Amino acid sequence: MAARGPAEPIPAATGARLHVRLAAVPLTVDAVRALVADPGAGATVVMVGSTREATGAELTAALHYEAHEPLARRLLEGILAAAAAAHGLAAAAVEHRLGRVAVGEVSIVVAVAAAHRRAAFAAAEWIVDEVKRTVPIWKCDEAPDGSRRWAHPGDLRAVVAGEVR
Amino acid sequence: MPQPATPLESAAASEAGPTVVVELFAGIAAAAGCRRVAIPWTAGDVGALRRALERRYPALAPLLARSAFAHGDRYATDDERLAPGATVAVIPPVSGG
Repeated sequence: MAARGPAEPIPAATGARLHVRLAAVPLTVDAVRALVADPGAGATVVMVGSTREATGAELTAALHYEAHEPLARRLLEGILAAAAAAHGLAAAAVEHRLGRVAVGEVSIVVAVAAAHRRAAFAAAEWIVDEVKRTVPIWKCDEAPDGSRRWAHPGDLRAVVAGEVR
Repeated sequence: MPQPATPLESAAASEAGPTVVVELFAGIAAAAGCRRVAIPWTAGDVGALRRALERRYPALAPLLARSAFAHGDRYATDDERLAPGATVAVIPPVSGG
């Protein structure tokens, strides 16, 4: 039996416009914002994630991202659809980088458009939380000396098992 | 890229009988030194495959225990049956964003 993964069920179409992209080339924040432009929107929230120079005492030169692309795309579509249904969004978009992302470069852009700001803020935050919790994308931290370390925090087996219904 | 570019572990080509092909990613691929591995397979579920991988890569057992599996574009639970010839992926804890 096929398991139902996190972020399912995908709700019925709400009429919201949704956009998902995994890209090995630099992301353009304005382009993602433009994708959610909507005459019904009074508020647009754009969350931009980028490679941070330091985490505590650990220095980072770049992050390298990789994904299980078919599963990641399907889950991202489900997350946007769920957010649109829950928050009445007019449009939602997410783009995530793959490959090497140097310090200061953009790794993720989430953009949502809603009638009012509270829904837009809440939806954007929920989408980012879900991406970090369930979507099969991984980062490898490249230190200034060239050494690399993959980040595998937490217990994904438990997350998935807890959501199979 | 962070992993070796080896497309297929030598064992995959040399397995004579039925197998399942397991795709590896990120820290699992880096530690195993390959991106795909063939596991001899007649019948069983994802849990049995999990145990077979732990036997093949004992050093990876702690990470495998925190990893999920995907079959096609869906997460699979440990009780999902796998037929010989199936391709599945090990999905270690995620760190996107």
